[in-house]
Amino acid sequence: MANTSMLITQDRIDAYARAVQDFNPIHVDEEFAVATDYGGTIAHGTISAALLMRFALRDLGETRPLGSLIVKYVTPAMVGDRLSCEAVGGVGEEDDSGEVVYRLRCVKGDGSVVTVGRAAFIGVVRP
Amino acid sequence: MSALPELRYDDLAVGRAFSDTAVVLSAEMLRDYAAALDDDNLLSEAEMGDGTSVSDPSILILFAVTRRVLAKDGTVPPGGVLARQDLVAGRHVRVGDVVTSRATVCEKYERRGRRYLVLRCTLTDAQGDVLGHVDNHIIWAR
Repeated sequence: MANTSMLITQDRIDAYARAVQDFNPIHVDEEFAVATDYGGTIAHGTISAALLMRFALRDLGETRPLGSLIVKYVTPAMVGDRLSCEAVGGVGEEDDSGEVVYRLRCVKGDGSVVTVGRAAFIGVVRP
Repeated sequence: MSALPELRYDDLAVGRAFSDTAVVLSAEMLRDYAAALDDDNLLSEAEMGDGTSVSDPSILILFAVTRRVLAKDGTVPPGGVLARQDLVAGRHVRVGDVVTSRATVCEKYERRGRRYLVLRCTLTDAQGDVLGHVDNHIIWAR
């Protein structure tokens, strides 16, 4: 299955902060961030959500429209981490409501989980 | 102009609605988003200008940032963490759309000694059509 990956850089975090207008110093101020428990700046969690969304839309090969995406943030991503996405089990499963559900996760290079997700595609095939 | 009050968890009842906030999805905003994600599709949609449909519904999260949607009513105490987000997509947003977010406290709960607040952000366009909604599950700062 195709994979979506992304290297976390400070430039990327800064660009995202401008788009979101979220300049929390834990994301954009290295001097502030090194004094925290994280020891450096961390990426906005929603960057990994966006990565999972891209993965769901482009790499799963689904033809049904996406209805919802639920993400849980597990571990922050730091500058220098390379994130990649995968579908647990590789295939979607139809639930009781007729939605086709994929279990997704976004992981670092060392395999630690950054974000887990549930993408639900509504059960109507596009014409 | 007086400083906004810091919001207190105990004062935020389920059902509390906050002031609407409206933000235009500008091409510049979409360009920054595309740059952050290295997304050529989104970048080309930004270059096509107003009226272009944005193919990626994760853009809706930009309009549901907690500090942004509460900006008229108060501040969130520092140290809070976003634990989970539920995004339900409706129709695609377009470049140039004015996206209005109405935030409502829809749930409060405690788990493992942490206090959670669920802030539902309902996003609409200028015609009042629902673009989607985002539930932010926030671990409230101690």
